[in-house]
Amino acid sequence: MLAISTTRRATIGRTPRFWGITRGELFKISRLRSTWIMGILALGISILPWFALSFIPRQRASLVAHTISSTLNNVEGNLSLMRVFLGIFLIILAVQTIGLDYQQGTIRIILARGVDRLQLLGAKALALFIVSVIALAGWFLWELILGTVTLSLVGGGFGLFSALNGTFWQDTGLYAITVVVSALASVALAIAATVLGRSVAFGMAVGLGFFPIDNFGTLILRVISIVTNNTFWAQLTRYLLGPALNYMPIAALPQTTHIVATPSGPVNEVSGAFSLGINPLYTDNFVHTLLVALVYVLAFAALAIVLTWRRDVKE
Amino acid sequence: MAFPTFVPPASTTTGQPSAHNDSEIVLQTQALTKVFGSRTAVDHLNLAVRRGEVFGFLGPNGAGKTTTIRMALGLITPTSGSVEILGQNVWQQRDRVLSQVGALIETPALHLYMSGRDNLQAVASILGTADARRIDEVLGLVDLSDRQRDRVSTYSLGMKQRLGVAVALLDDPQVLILDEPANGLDPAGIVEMRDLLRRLATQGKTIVISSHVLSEVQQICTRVAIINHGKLVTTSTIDDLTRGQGYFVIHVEDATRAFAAIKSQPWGREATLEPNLTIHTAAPDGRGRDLVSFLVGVGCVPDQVAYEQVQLEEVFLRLTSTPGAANGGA
Ligand SMILES: Nc1ncnc2c1ncn2[C@@H]1O[C@H](COP(=O)(O)OP(=O)(O)OP(=O)(O)O)[C@@H](O)[C@H]1O
Ligand SMILES: [Mg+2]
Repeated sequence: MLAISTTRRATIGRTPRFWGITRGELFKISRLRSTWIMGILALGISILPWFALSFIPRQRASLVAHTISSTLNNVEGNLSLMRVFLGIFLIILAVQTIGLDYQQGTIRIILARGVDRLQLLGAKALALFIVSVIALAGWFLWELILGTVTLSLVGGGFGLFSALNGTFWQDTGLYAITVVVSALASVALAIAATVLGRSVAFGMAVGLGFFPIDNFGTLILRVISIVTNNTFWAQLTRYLLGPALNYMPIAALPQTTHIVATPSGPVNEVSGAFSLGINPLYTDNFVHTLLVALVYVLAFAALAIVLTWRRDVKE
Repeated sequence: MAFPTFVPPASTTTGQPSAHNDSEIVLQTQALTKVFGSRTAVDHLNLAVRRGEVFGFLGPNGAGKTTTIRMALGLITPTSGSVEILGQNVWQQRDRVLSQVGALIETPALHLYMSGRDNLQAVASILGTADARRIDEVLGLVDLSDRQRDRVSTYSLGMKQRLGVAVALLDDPQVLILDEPANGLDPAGIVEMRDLLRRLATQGKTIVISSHVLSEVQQICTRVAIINHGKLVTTSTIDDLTRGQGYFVIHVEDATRAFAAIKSQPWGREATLEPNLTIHTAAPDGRGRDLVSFLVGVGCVPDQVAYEQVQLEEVFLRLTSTPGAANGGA
């Protein structure tokens, strides 16, 4: 056994700092191995569509003939999948980041050291935001690398890649924004659910169950609307989070036809957004879907903040 | 119960170590009360813990010890009353006050999926004291150096408890509040924990221990508070609690005659004659000398007179067994 240091440490009087707490949370996230395995697996799976594009002859031919539309279709398909998978990944991560501290009681250790409850919640949210940004940026980069490699392989150089015009990049960027919004909404949902239930199990159940339920809810509202012969119920679907997020890319990227120069001359290309999931029964514009998402995020944040602030820590 | 209405000197409010002062109050609760629904868990509790004390906080199950500690650590809001640590209100100065307090609350709270070392690392970065040397040091203190890389989920309860103490010690806090630190420790572990706490106490740390293992408390605590049904029953030094409560064991040739003589005295009414023909009795005014001269006076010169110290357990049980007796609060 070592002797106890008898010198008074220079830490007397210091107070826990926000960035330190955030760093501690990031450290804990870095130790959640299962989550990382899932993330890496998802990156691996996202190779498949590009693989198909380079090796399935028909797809390959279409890529050469209609570079922009087929690349955009592929990117949209991938981003659409990514929206769902990254959402699940971030929900699990957020539930663990918030819930494990409650479940294992470690929250009382941190709070008993003078860390403010809201400060801790904020630090966790910031840590999750940082991880989300890294995950999103990492995945976008990964898609970019895969796309570049695929186009170079198929085109035998950078010819196909340079055919991608400004509209393509703008559309891709818009789609990416919808993925970011969706990711942030998922994290906010998971945080609120876990704070509410103060356990990993509850957070997972609500966090992962929310979107399937409100997607399915659209169908139920449709049935109710038909049975009651009242469009009120169908109108409600305009305000469901899941359908709004599903529809957001479609609203952001309306079907457009444009003339594009290709190696074989100018071609008419139709590009439109592809998105997974059920859409609202009445559709609105991009801004509406953004507002719906924003209202939900604010509501989730308010719920998490009020509960964290008001409740005793009994863990 | 009378409590000094002591106002800590201004120097303590800055959190700076002041000159060692025996009467400086480090932790103080004033009419602290917590009501859960219709149940009053803590009832107008007044406690005062002085600097450098090892203070025992005792009470039967459900007496309100953990609830009091949670309020002192700012985890649950008091229904009324207040807690001051180092002269500052815990609720108004949370970050300044509580950063000086290391705590262990009930079962050790640890991240099971991380290693022992990573648990310390995580808390260290949160506290802003990330320092690998200090982590080595506290791991050594609680004797976990060789298991530091293993996941905590593989630790025994005693190891988890020790890691919990290591977390509490991480940034060398002035005040330690340990709720049942002996929980789950084997006898050797208890002895080690006791040694550790003693060493920390000699460094001038103030330590509050709630415990069920009263023999433990008896050995290391300078003072104890006993609570029951949320109310303070008594605050006292162990000596004061047990003094005069012991009894004398007398070995004498004619035990029956000596016993009869003792029984006839007002101080000897409770005396018993044990099957092994020893007499257990109190003494006149609690003085052994007077007991011996009495025996000599009645012609029963004793072969042996020994004093049996009463155990804290017995005092504790007596003080907490009748709910009506719980009336020592403010
Ligand atoms: N969150 C809570 N909600 C309702 N009642 C509670 C809560 N926490 C504690 N209590 C009640 O308050 C009383 C005091 O509990 P507390 O945990 O403080 O006792 P304790 O002295 O620590 O007991 P033990 O020695 O068993 O740990 C008990 O009657 C308990 O049931
Ligand atoms: Mg308790």
